[in-house]
Amino acid sequence: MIDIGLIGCGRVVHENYAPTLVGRTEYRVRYVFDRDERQALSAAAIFGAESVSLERLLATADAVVVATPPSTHVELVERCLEQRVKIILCEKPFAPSFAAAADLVRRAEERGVGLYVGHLRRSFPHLRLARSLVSLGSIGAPRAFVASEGGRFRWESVSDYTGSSETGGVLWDTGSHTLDTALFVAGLDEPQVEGVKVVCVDRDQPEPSHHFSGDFVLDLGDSEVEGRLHLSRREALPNVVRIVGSRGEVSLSVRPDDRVRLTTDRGTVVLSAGIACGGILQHLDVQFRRVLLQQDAGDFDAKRFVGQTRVLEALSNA
Amino acid sequence: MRDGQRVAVVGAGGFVGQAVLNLLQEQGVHAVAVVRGDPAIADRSGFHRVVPTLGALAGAQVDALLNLAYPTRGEAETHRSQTEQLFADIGRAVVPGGRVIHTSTLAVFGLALDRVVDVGPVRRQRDVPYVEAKIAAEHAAARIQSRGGLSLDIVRLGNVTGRSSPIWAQQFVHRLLTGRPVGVRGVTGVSNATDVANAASYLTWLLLGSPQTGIRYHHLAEFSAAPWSSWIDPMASVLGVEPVLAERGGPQPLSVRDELSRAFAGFGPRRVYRTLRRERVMGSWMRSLRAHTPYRLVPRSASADMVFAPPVSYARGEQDFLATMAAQQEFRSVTDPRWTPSIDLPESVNRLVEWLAQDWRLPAR
Repeated sequence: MIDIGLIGCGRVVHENYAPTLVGRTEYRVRYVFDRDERQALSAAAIFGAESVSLERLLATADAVVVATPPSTHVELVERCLEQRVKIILCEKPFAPSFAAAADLVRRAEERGVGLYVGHLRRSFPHLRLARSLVSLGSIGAPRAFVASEGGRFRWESVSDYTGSSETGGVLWDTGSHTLDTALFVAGLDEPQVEGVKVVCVDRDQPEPSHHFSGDFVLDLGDSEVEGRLHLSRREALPNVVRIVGSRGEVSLSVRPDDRVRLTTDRGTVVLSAGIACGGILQHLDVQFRRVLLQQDAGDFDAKRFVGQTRVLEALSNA
Repeated sequence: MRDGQRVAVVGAGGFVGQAVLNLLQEQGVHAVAVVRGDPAIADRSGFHRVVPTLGALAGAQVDALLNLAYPTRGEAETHRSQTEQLFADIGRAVVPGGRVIHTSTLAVFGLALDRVVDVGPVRRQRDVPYVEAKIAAEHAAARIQSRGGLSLDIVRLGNVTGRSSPIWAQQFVHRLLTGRPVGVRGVTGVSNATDVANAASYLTWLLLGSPQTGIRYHHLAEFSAAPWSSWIDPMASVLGVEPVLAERGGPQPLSVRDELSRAFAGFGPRRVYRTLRRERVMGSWMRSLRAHTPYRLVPRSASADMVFAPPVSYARGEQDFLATMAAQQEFRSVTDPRWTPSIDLPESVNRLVEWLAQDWRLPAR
């Protein structure tokens, strides 16, 4: 039985973690910590866990899940690394800068620690199908992508980081998901992005923004990929990702789905992953299992989110 | 609008509410916007006063109030009491003799408009939770009107489409892209649509008008006769896809007998229950039963994954969608003749197409 230490007991823990981490036979939430004692006690009651100090949690847990606001991730992951926790799963967005993300990954590798980032969409059947199509060369080398995601924002975080923290706006909060969808499908999360040229950016206010659009160019060393990201907490957007390669394109929804459209010079076809696509909680469950049980956990390896962080940082600073 | 008139928009964070706030700002009218969540998201400019609940007005009454809110949270069987509370708050928030514009929907005559349409009061019906909630809201609005001597306009909106419509625009993109049906083969349904620009224009026009006496009913669907293909085909063209049509689809059962015969098509009691709890009439009776019984006579929540009995192979949401797309009854506009729509059908289509194209076009370096 793997004992999980849960750092941060906000809304995502109460609404999403509770149904996916309770009642499992291979792992359990044994310790919880939150600076807000009421939140910690509430979560402890849900999981049948102990509300403990951060020091005790880090000293005794087999695996740690960091579910705090993004601005605290680096410090908390560093604390986990110092304590040599075996498995660390950090909620997205991973880190606020490329330098910090790269440093955490390097230190985790040096210590032999499994450091992962919670991007549950990587379990969506259609994302995995689309990634396979691209990696098989169905569309040739990716050259450009567009990704949009917008709708009325209803998430009310306990700490209000979504409205007050520089890394809590739509770019980092939603955009990390949207961008990751495009990078994961295009296979651009493994040959690391070496540089980002921001072409133009439009946002409603300095970060945390609630409406954002940006055009940019990813430098992959031997090639470039153009990208556009459009995000909104006010306006419904098409919510699609389109990846265009030298021989065709794939397009897909940002929502959980099993279908992908593949278009080449021979025509267009909708392909199904052949797997019933459940809801968000089902995919969160899959993510926890893959990471905590170390079964096909590579998709969540933190080193595959360093390039994404470089892009988000460039757009955030533009 | 007379000087110093105080107006409020309840449920201003939604698709129509945002458009109304923008129009009010264009006309220089400061409103109290009642919105859940971050005020900075609801009112980007800070022009209006954003409050989380009507109670936050702390007794400061308004002269005119536009209600766009209805219960969306909690179990469906609690929506009725939530509605009563909402209208009690509205009644207290408006000055005696003030004006209330309540926004309702064509769905009070069924999601696919399969009941008789009448420009007047609608009687209670057993139906899906959304329909029941909307009918209950109209009744609650009428009650506060009679108690408070208010001027009440009940505006039943058609299917609100247009640029960035979260229900129609997003759904059409998703369906077109993933090869899911956007209509029924051989059936040309009427859209019964109104564009959000026109809906906001009409509601704002009413809100800023002079109060009258009694209750007036309005139906707004200026593009009612237009088929859905008016919007879908140009969107499909942008995406470079062919719209897919279902082989069958249409109205859902309206009687207990029809629902039972469908549910008992060769399956055991658990599946029958799961099917019936989503039906319009039986589902409604089951919610009533659960609301008034202290014990769990029936499970409160079943698996989210529904498997329906043949011959209907589409999931329930799919059936409702296709029934709406195949609607045959027209929801004709009945509006104040002094108001004219701000945009026509070609402009509505253009706005939707441009909305899609801007996020489909590749970056141009």
